[in-house]
Amino acid sequence: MDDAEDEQSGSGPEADPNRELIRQLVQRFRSGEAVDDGAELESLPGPEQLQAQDRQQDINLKKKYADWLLGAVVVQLIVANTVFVVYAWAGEHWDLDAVVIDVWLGATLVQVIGVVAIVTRYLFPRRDGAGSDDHQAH
Amino acid sequence: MAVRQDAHRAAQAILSDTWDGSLPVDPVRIARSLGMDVITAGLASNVAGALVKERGQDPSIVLNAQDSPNRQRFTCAHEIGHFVRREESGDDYEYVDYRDIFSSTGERDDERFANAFAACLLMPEEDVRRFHREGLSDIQMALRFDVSRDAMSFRLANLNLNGRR
Repeated sequence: MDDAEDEQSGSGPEADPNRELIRQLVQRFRSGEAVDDGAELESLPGPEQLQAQDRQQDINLKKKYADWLLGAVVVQLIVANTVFVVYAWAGEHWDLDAVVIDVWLGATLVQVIGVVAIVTRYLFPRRDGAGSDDHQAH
Repeated sequence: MAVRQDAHRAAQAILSDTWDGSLPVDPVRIARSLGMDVITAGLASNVAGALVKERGQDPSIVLNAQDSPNRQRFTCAHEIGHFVRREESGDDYEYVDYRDIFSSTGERDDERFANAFAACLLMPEEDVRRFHREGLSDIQMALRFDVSRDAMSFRLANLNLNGRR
């Protein structure tokens, strides 16, 4: 092997380690082995495809947030009502002061409305911008 | 200058054989139509990509998975340029090529050819001149070709057209 061939194949004493690594990586890929961040491409997404992917990711993320937050509200309602019933039944035999009931129900209602308001306002903003901070500022 | 003209001719030939004229040009689809595999993988941070052609196997382009699609697009076109230049020589070779700081300076003929080829492939001269006549800025053109503003500016300068506006 002359110098030119040696330089091309990267097998000489001063061969760049990147070359050997890449060659091995391709061989692993061809043999079906797992490769870090490895994927075969059919095409590269253009700007419109990237925007569509971005929108889809946004939708998926919002759905995940909404599902978790609404689930949390449901759990909160169950816990709050259970505690309320247990407390009332065991402690006072349903003979609670009216203020206790008012405060309890009021707090639960505010909490539920608060969570729903946050979800709808920030995860699903109105398209005309109404309700946003920018809109209110003007 | 001869290298750039060779790259221009080679890119024009590839575009006319493999591309329908739509924008942006997708170098991955072109590479695949030329019989090459294109894969992304985690590479060293200073390596943008590689062209691997081993005896008896189809050539493969490897792109750095950490790079942006824009960067991958240019790297892929660059590696196609290497492939075209190697294929024209008619050799059966086992060769690992990669693009790094050395290639980006364009010091070797191979790298200068590949860089010029990539620019001609992604920013076809006819389209660049048409957009320029229509008065598009370099940023507007870069968005249409899906390349960086710097790449667009270089292309305009090489075509002796006005650069940034």
